[in-house]
Amino acid sequence: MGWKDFAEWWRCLVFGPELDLALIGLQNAGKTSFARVLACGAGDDGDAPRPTVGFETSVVRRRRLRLRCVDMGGSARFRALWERHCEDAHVIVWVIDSADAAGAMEARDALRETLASEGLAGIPLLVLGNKSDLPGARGIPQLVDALGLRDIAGREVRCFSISCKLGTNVDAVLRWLTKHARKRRQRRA
Amino acid sequence: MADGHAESSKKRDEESEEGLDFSPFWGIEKGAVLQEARCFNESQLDARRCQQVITKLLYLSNQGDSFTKVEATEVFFSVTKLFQSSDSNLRRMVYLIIKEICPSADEVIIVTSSLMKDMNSKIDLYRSNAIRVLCNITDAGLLGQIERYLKQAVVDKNATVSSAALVSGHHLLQVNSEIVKRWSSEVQEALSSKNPLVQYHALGLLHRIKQNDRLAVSKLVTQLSRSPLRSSLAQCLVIRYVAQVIKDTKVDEVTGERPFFDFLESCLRHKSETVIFEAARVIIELNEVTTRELQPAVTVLQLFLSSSKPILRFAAIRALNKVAMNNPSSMTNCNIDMESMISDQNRSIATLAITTLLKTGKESSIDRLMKQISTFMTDIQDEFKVVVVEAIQELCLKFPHKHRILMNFLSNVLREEGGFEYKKTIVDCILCLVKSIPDATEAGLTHLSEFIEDCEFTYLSSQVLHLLGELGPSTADPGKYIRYIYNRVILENATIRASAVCALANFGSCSVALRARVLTLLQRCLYDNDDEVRDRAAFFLSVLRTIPETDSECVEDPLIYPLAPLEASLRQYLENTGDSAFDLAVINQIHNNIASHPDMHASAFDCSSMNISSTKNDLRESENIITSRGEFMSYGPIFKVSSYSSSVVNSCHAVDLTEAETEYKVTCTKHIFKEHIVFHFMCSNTIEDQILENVSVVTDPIEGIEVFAKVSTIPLGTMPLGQFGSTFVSYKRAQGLHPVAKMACTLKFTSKEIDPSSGEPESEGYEDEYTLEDIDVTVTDFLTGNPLSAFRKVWDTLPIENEKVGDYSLGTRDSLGEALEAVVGILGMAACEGSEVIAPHARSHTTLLSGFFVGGHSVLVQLNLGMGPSNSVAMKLIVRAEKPYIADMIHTLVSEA
Ligand SMILES: Nc1nc2c(ncn2[C@@H]2O[C@H](COP(=O)(O)OP(=O)(O)OP(=O)(O)O)[C@@H](O)[C@H]2O)c(=O)[nH]1
Ligand SMILES: [Mg+2]
Repeated sequence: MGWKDFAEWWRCLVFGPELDLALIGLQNAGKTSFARVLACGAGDDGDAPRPTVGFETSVVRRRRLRLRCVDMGGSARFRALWERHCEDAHVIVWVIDSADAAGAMEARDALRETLASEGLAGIPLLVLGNKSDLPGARGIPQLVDALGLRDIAGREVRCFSISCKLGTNVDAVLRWLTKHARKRRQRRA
Repeated sequence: MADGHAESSKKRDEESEEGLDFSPFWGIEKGAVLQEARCFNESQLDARRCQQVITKLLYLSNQGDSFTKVEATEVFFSVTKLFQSSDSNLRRMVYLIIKEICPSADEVIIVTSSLMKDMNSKIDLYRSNAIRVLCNITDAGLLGQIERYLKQAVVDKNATVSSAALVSGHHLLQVNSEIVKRWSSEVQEALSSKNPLVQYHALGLLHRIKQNDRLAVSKLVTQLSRSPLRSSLAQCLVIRYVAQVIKDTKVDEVTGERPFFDFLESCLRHKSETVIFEAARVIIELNEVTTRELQPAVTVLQLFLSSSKPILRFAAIRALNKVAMNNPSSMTNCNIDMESMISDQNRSIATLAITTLLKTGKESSIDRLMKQISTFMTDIQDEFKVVVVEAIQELCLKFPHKHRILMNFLSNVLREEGGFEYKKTIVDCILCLVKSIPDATEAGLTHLSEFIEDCEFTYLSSQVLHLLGELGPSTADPGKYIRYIYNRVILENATIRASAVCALANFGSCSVALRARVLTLLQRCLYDNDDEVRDRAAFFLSVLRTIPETDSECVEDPLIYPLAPLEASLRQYLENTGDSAFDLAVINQIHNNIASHPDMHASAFDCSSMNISSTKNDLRESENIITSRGEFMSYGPIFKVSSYSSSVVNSCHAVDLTEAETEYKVTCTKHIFKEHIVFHFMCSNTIEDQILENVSVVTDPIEGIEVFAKVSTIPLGTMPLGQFGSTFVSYKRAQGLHPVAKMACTLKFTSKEIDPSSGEPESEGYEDEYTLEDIDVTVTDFLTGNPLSAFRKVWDTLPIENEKVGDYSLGTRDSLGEALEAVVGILGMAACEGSEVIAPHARSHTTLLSGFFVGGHSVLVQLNLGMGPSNSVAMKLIVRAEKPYIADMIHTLVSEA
């Protein structure tokens, strides 16, 4: 165990488990909304988020879990940044607007291209089908097909259907993240 | 040389070893630091280490190391990852480095969201810094998004945040002044902040927002002058703004009171020295300041003179130095304080004290003062010495009786070591004294003669030699200078030798007694190894020998010929590879011609093969020719003379109709009469071996045929070689119309070649023609300026129904003056009541123009100019005329120009 790993293990022991997330996905998918839900819970005040210009980082504490999120802008001009920020992530979170049928193809290609880069090999992928509250939102099986998730090999893949607006299923995602963080710690120890 | 080099590099090594102790940055190198910057990419960030690396990068950048685009981009992207760290010290460095490396706009945009988040953070440090960076990288689109936050930040309760927003406002004024102007109530609120810095920044911004509105500024200043501000820096700003307002307003003529003077005076009692000084400085610089107004300012400055703080002493003496220039009498009380400052440890202060004393000193104190200065001169630098010498020159002109002691001083310092600038100042000073104080001439010349014995500056030696030649011969004992001068011929470089030869020659020509000696000396110079020296010697020898033995007359400056014609004739001489010697008489002839007909000046040389630009005189000359000819008498007086082209705005030149390098040159001038128009073509032949006879220009209206009727064509017998001859075409215009027309022109003539063997022209010529450029007749040709002394009166007599108003944008201009000139140039109307004078700093202005159409229609224009942000000028044109169509015509003219 190197010094860095040791330090992380030690912090986990003291501060509880922690996890670095990289939030990516097409524009308007709801990444920023998800980061906010994590931070403040659903149905929270305020104006709808603006399209992210570049990226935003935030640190979230949920129970014993400490999450560091990098919320990336989804528009094409910022996609070159994704790889750089995903490299360090423990989990890549791919957010997709499950009601947006037209963007499905683009989403699949972008996902595939991103995962193909060497630096990201082996990093677990968490797919969130957002906006489940909207009519026409696709369920998990359709999303798995649309994104071609079955073809992904060499990494753990998990898919949830959520709604940031209503907070549906966000707890399930959090539970999964906590579990994942514990698993990581055990693997290290 | 090699030794010296080794030694200096050794010295540098030593210095650098010393540096090692002090600088943590010693020996850091860009490549290595860029390597280190990889730590930004590590998954577990070491905040301290990252901070250090950024510090090094900032250091490099500030030392002038530049990063290539690739390097900058790489650093920038790695730095963006540091936003993941929540270490606030590191974040601060991140803000700095982003501003410093400032990558291209499309890259820097990726930190936008992060910065916007920080801008709304709870941590003040994040907020203030994020605002600064964001405003630095923002573009107009983004500005709209963040404007709301910035506006809030202006009134943030945290001072650094508020300050950051205000300072950003200053920068954003350049990007989008409209947005910043919307903040004025917030900025006004920030002005009453308890924090001095916020107050200072707020005042600066508020003033800039309002600066184009003179009334608003005046109101602001009035309000601020009633109650002092907490921040002394802000108070200083108020004083400056007040100064500006004072400058722009007039002194009350009844009471003679200057507005705001009470305020300035009260600032002299402020508790902050900065404010006191600022107020004193402003008072000193008031226009036509009176002694009474000066007194309180001088008093506080005098107190500063004995302060223990060097900066105060320096500021005070510097200000007093200015007072001494115009009002030396108002500060006699300070003399004692200033004398004690001559020994001030700070040399800048001492120098200023001396020069001030030199300005205010009395004749009786000069001797004492000069003694003090002499000891002082040795330990100051050249630039200070220059100042002292200049002050001495003034003093000497003021007290000519004291020239002896001052001249002695100058000759002493002249002998000491010193650089060129310093020596030149001394020499200039002596030259000035020699010329303006007759008693000082001999002493001065002697000092200078001695100076050139050992002078390392060629320029100064030549200058002194020239002066000796000029003034030496008329002194009591001219002979004594000859030795000094001839020594130069033996010892110096060619430039100085040549100057010495001229000086010698002057002695020879002015003094009969010395002539034989000079001739001998010049004779020796014929063997000089430099061409110029020999030429000059030979020239002067021959000139001197032509002067009758008993006469004394100064050798005339060989350049009595005006340069332009000399150059022209020389060129012509060189082009015609004639074998005959160049005859100076030609120029003399031309020159005399010019002397007797000043108006001929331009034309005489325009006809040379060179294209010396023609002047206003062209038009006047053309006018003279027209009025001197009987044919046009019946047309009445000339209404307006102009060249043809509308694109050459307000041209005073006759317009060339031929290209520059044709065999003939034709220019055209238009003369407008009440009902007629005469085209005057001035033609000149530029080819020697042809003769052009029976020359005329055939004009053919292409546009405006209906209104023009040709009256006559007056041909020219022969087109003279190298001189202008005239041919005319005249038209009658249909009554009352100011037509726009275009004429096609063809030059027709009979060409005869000159037989090279006999030099006689052939008897039979052949007809030939040559197409000239078209001539335009425009509306402005019929409009002339008509200055009125009572514009308003006439304006009111013109029917308001005929008033036509139009708005124009004149694009960006350097100044309103430039814009005005352009418009007046297009219209050719006259400005009335001095309204063409634009006040300095004016952002808006009204000019009254008056003009007169041929046939007697007057037209008046009120021209309002306003300068908007980024110097774009808008113009409103209000036109009144007796006939509405005339008013319309003015608008057409402007809009089509
Ligand atoms: N109906 C519904 N709308 C949602 C939900 N989540 C997000 N939205 C809306 O979707 C829009 C986009 O959300 P963002 O969070 O800004 O999307 P993003 O992925 O961050 O977009 P970029 O930053 O441009 O890449 C916003 O108007 C949200 O209000 C959801 O669960 N249901
Ligand atoms: Mg977003």
